[in-house]
Amino acid sequence: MSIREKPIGIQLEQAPVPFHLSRRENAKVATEASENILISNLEKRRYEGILKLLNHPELNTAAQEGIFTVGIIKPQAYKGKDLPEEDEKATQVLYREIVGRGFNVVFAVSLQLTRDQAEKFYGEHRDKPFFDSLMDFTVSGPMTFLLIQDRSGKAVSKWRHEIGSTKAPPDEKVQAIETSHRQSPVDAKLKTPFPPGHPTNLTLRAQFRNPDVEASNNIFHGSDSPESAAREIGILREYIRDVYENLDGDKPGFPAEEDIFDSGLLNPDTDQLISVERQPGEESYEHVVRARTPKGEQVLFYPGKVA
Amino acid sequence: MKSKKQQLIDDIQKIDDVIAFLDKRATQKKNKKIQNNEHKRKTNRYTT
Repeated sequence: MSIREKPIGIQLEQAPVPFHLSRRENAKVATEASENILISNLEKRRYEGILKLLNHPELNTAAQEGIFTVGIIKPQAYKGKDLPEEDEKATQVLYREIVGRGFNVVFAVSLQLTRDQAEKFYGEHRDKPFFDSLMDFTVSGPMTFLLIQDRSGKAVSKWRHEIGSTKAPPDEKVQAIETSHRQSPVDAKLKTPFPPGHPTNLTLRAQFRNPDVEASNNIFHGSDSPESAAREIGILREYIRDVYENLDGDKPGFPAEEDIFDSGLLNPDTDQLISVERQPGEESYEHVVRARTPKGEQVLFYPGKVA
Repeated sequence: MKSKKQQLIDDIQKIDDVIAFLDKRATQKKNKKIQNNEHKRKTNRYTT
């Protein structure tokens, strides 16, 4: 048998490469593929970091001391004044504006909530007459959750002050501020409570309010107290855990088939794994393992831990 | 403008920094508690 005919023991999994590509093009395809894998791994690593942060035992205390707050850029943000028509791009503009105003955004995650999740988040408004319309609006598109940090312990008040009231300021006040800024940017800068470089001293809601669109009055959300911030961080942790579990690839603490057999729970010679499901808990998970064994079908438990 | 890769690396770094901040806070609290207990123990010894 010549070397060429020698059977290969291990078959490496490879993406099919069109035969007509040149060597240089092939190399480009391979580079792009590895770049995509790298980015997907980095995204996964980012979610792991976020989960680790949200599970940190000290985070709740720090939030109750006002060091963290939850901000949200709501759906349909593109309806705001002078914003791109695509929701995603509009959100990016708003995010840059928030960072430009000096806020330390630890992370931003865009999530599409289900109605159940939205009802849990806004549970305190359940008895209000606007609850149903609020739910419709909340699930109408992705919400971008921001975890904002302020080490001086004023995260909640600073963010609430910055987003301002949902009520529109009188037009003449808006015009006066904008005119004074145009006429004398130096004066405007000195008067502004915000960091240098910030274009106006309007609140975020006032800056992006579109007088013709009702939804633009309330593009932003902010926790109303440190206690609410702590509660909303807890809810955000659940959302992100769900997202992470649905990411491609390995799930946090989710055992591979080999792990279950290696643990001795099942015997690879006699048992056959049917399914593995997770039983979510606050700090740890137990996995319900269904297997076909010589004794019949059995339900077993495999321990796991989050991240 | 940053590449997506660089942006993700920066995001991860930022999150790790905040985790380190929380770790430090937790350690400081723990140390303070130990110091307080130690102080209480010493004070009790002298007063009783």
